[in-house]
Amino acid sequence: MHKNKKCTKFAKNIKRIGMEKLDGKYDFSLYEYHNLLQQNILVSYKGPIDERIMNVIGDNIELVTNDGNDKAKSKIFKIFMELAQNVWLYSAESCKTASGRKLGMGTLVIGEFGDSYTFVTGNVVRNSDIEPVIEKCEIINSLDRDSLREYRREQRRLGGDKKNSGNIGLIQVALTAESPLDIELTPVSDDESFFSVAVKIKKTVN
Amino acid sequence: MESAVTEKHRMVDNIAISYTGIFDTEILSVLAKEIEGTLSPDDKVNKKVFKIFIELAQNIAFYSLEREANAEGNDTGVGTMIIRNFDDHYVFSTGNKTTMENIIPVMEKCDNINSMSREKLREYRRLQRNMPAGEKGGGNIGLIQVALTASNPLEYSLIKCPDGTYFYIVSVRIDKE
Amino acid sequence: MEDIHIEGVHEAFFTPTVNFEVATGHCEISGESYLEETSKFYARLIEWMKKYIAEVKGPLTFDFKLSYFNTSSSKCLVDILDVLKKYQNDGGKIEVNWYYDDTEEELEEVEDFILETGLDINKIPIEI
Repeated sequence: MHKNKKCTKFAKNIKRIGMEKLDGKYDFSLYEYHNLLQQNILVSYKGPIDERIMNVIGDNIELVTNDGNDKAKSKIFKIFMELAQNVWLYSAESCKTASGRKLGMGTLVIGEFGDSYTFVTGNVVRNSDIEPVIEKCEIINSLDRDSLREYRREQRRLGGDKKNSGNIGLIQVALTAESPLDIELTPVSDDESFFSVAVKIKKTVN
Repeated sequence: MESAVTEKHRMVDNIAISYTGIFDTEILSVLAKEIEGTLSPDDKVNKKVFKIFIELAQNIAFYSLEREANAEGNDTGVGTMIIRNFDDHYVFSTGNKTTMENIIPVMEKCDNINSMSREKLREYRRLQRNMPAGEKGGGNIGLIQVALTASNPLEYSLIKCPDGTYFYIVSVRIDKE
Repeated sequence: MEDIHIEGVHEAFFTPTVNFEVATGHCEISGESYLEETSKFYARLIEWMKKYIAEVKGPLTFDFKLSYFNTSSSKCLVDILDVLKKYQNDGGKIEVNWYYDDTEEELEEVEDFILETGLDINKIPIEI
């Protein structure tokens, strides 16, 4: 009884606070956000990416994908390593550490959808940089497994250009996942877009 | 569907750092370092956000209703934290699942803290520190610390979840000087 | 000329364990390879190989036992294989063993290294 009374009091209070958002931006949709994440999302991170974050998020991902068999887990790990490195190295949005080190910023999400996991990365890119990457992704998705392996061999032979190594990463991801790269590009300004890559990995891999 | 997730991240304005998952010691220490080292060019502000993060993230670790075993098999709270970056301030928010019984005293505490002047709040902190552990009303110095560090009131919300539990959000504004 | 001994580390970055022996020409790279400065790390190994080929002129046996390597590392592994191939073409005696997790995909990866470098590599599956 006493408790119920209190609940009512707080319910009022909550409503008041909800309406009094200091700058109209408080609480926004954190619940909605968390909820969206909660439905299917096991771990999500947005922010600067460096080796520490890679390590700890990587460990967390391993922990939460316990419905997957060992082979699936090993695939997820490889895919995570490649895609997270791409965000770290190539994101157009970055920040500087106190020691002056530049870190790419982006989003890493692992979700669970029925009998598979989906690993998603997202980051801001310059439109001029991303065009060739989109083309690469389209090529990757159009190739069968044998052609994809040939493509990897070709690309590996193409000198030590840093940008190029990101492309091998995408080929590697498609080969590991055994599924196409689900890419999406959303313009954020005249010369930048938000680029996301999603890959599906079956929970049980033979 | 999957890409919508990152799209959502982008759309929620001004996110500097966000994390959803288990809040164990390992992740806490890495996120803390990230905040301290990269958030803003102003070390003082970073330090403030860092201190607030430690207090509020620990609350998730200890009190979130939603729990998972971490790598060492320890039972750990699951929740969300978001730092948003605005022109002249940051907003730090955490959210986690809870029950009405558990959260009422916390909300009372927030109201109490918000009603106090800075002087009173410091006195309150001293008083709480001297209380024996486990005593009713003791503990939770964390929230007092957060309010004192931020020099701003604690904003909270409680939302009823479809499963009958509640989602508790606490936000605090940290001004860039 | 000295041996190379590098103890593998699995921290924020993963350093593979490396043992290159001058006396026997036996070289082993094992563990995981994901490094901060990949080319720099492998450049030292390649330099060692070139020196061994020029000075010792003995046989080289390579055991690759990597459970994980990222794509930057894979490029450096191809560089190592290229050096071995060239040595073989010049009359050097070499043997290359690649231990891989027994999956179709890992096998493909080794086969691709073979196709890529034209080198004979012994494929040795290990149970995971």
